Amino acid sequence: MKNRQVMLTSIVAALATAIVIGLGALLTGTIRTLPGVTAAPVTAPDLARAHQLAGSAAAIITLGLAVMARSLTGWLALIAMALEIALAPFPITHAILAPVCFSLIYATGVMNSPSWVAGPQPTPSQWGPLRVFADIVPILVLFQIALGAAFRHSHIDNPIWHVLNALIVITIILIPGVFVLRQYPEHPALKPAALAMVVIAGIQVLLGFGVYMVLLMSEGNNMGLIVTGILHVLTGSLTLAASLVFAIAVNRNLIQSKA
Amino acid sequence: MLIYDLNANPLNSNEWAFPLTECFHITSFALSIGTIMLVDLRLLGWALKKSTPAQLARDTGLWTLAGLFIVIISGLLIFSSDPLRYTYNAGFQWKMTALVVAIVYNYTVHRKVALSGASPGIQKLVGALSVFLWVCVPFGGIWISFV
Repeated sequence: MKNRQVMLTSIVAALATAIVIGLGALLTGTIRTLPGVTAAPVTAPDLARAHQLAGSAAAIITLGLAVMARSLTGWLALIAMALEIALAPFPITHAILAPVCFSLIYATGVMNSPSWVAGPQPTPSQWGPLRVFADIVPILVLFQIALGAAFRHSHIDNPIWHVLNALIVITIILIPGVFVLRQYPEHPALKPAALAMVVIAGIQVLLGFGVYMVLLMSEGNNMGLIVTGILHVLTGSLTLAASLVFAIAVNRNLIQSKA
Repeated sequence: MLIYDLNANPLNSNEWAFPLTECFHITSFALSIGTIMLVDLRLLGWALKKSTPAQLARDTGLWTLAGLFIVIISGLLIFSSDPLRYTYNAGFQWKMTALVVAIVYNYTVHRKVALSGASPGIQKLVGALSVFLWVCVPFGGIWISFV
């Protein structure tokens, strides 16, 4: 019963955090254009206030979640949320911590789902480096988010490193993702985790390509840029969350053979 | 009206960007065409005779798809670096035609024959046509720079 309540609270907290991230993306929606192109800022009355109010609500729900869950991911989500609020004046750190917070809330929810509570289903690892790949993926995704935030907040001029790193990240995601889908097609935890990660990452790359194309073809800010930009930021958080859950699932269910 | 300034494209303003994107494009092509060729070689009866074409098609299908996904994304990035030049390039036109035909063929006729266990004659014919179509794709890609 307690797990179900924690899972439902996690869903509410994740939705609240997603709204905060979306509003934040809209607020910083003087979305970076390419060098030499000036963009009019996207400003709406009280947008900043809405972002702060939604942030406060998300923080309170996360506090409740942490107290209810009393798990490592729950406390980490609370710490990330506190840091997120404290470091709000620093846009890049703020933009990086938000997906981290979202991912920890998402992971808390997954770890309280009925299938997770039923216990691990240990299975022998068929490929030694799989666990290493699974552990690397969230780190790479976070680095990719940092590159995107650095471009968005004008700390780097050229988005090309974010674009090229996207190709590296999708490759590193597909290797363990496809491997797990092929080798453990019936596993109740590994298969859904891998499928979610691969599909979300694929959508994220397509959205990123959409933003890139709109950037190339735009004189300045426009609705297309704003909508694709916000969706890209939101799906970035979801990609990090899915990769974190995948890493946890692999570490939980795969038994490393002793060579 | 849409505007497009080639100089604004980040791929054209960094000496590493284009070759690195090409590396991804070619490597992922090798993955997708390589995995399709495994099935083709089996259909032709030239290799991997311990496995059936259906087993090979199932085992390699997701890798082929993963490779094609990166091929298309990196290909679109490369295309964005100079859309007009590519559009009117005969090598590119050949490559795109071959790619579309090869993908459609791969996920229709090729897949059906590989999974159904058709007669050896049909398998050989389908495998040979698949090899021809997929060889045409990089062939067209190489010609882009020379026509």
